[in-house]
Amino acid sequence: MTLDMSVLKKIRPLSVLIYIVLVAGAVFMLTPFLWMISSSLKDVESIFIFPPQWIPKEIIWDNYAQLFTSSYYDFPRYYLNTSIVVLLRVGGMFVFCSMAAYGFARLDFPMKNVLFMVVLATLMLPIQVLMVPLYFEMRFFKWINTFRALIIPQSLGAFGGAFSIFLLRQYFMALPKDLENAAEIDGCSIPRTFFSVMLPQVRMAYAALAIFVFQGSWNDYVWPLIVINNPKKYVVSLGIALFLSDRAALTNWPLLMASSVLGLVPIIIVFLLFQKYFMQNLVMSGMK
Amino acid sequence: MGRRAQIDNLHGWLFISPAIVIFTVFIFAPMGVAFFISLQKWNMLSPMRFVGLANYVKMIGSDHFWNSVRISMLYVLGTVPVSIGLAMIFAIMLNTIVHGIAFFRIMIYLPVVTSMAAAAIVFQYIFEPTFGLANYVLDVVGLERMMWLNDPNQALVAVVIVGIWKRVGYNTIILLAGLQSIPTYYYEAATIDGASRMQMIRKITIPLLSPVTFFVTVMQIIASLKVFTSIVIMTNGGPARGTDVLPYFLYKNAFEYHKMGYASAVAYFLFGAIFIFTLAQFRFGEKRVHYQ
Repeated sequence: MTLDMSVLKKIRPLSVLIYIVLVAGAVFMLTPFLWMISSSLKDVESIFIFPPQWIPKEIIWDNYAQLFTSSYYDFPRYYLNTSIVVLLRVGGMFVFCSMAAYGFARLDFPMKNVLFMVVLATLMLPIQVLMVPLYFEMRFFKWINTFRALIIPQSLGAFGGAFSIFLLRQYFMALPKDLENAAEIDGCSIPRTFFSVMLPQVRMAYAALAIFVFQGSWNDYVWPLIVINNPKKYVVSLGIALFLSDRAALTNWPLLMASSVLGLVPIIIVFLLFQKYFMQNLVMSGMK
Repeated sequence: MGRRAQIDNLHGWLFISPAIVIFTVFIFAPMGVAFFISLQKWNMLSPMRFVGLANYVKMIGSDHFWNSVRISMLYVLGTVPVSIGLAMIFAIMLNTIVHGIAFFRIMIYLPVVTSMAAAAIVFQYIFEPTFGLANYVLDVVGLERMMWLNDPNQALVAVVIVGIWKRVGYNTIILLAGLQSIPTYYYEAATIDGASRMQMIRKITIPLLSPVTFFVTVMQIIASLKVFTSIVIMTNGGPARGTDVLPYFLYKNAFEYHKMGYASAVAYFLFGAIFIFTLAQFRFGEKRVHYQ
């Protein structure tokens, strides 16, 4: 809620100051992106020009062309790989988290509350603690360098998926009990009630959660770094950091910047289109 | 137990079992295995050898380990106050202005949604000592140039800046939601009583916001303790271990030196540290924001 307008009118200079600070903040946030785009359109020589040029004298698209056509980089493949991983994780989240959430919200069984607390506790678990044993497990299953390693351990959407279960449970609990009672009178079994009556009711939650999973999966770097070292199986986050294993190539900043732009464009488009859901997720996770 | 209740029980277990199986196989079991590995000497090639608590003893006696604890603490001390303070300023301001809220929210939140891997690469370029943007900015404002990632202390400053840039938006949006849930009649009453703007911030906003502030502070501490991607891309823990935060120390011991037992002991130490803050949140943080 904004303060009373009359207060604002009395303190005009203050509101000018506020806008100056906010614009400064926005500039700080935005500069790396603008700098990245600008540099990605330069050739290797012109990045040494000092003071830096914000708008390149000559716009060079060659860096992008290289990323799509060279034998070293294979961005179409990284995009495809990432899409497969994201889609399957989102699918897993839909099925498994909805079921668990419905169970926790509406069905009664022994140890329900204890189990739910245990599920919630996983929210705080840092991936670093699981790195060694999960890597060992992936080796044991012979899943290193396979999509299975990227998908199956995170088939609840993210590691654990506790957030999705928690959120969907809230949605289910908010639905009127009459829905199930009516379905039961009509002779629906519990699974049938769940699939055809209850699931469609919470579809608004899925948009937010699918975006949550998309964001997490698209940006995930640590886990792919550990379980994938075959460039054919690279996801985008590994692809853009490919140079880093080759220190000599590090001087080609324009190419690196172009690859970063390619890594960021999809997530930024999704963010700008659906920013309402991003913030909604965040606020719900903060206010639980 | 009635038949109805039995059916319910059965279905309950049926519905949660896929998720529980996944949790067990990929989280609970590995957690247990990590503890087991932490009691072994193991390089993944030769068979495991039980060494009891030797890995923990070695950890406590290791200068490199304590260096990492110190660096992690410095990283937390560097990121938390600035990131929460800035977020508080942004949130209060966003809550005051009438025009452009949506625009500024998007700008401030943009770094949060982007990939840390890509951002870290860009920042590595920005912190380049000879032609990077950071030194250009220092030139413009008349300050002395810095070595940034080439100097152990300045490298930590650089990764702290990246950490703040990445997370201010998250803290801002949560604090803003907290501010928006403070009923307006407090401010209306204060206005009638002739309270000044600063008085209202001090006496109404800050106290009523404190549970949310506590929450974002704890979350920020946990996130800072877990920092990894920016380190692995920008500095590899260097130079001279100047940015060798605990998660990176753990990663390097596991996947470069193949000291799996030792790395697992460090993992448990890190887990313990994070667990303490999690517990603090559950114990002292109000789970819901109540104002009345």
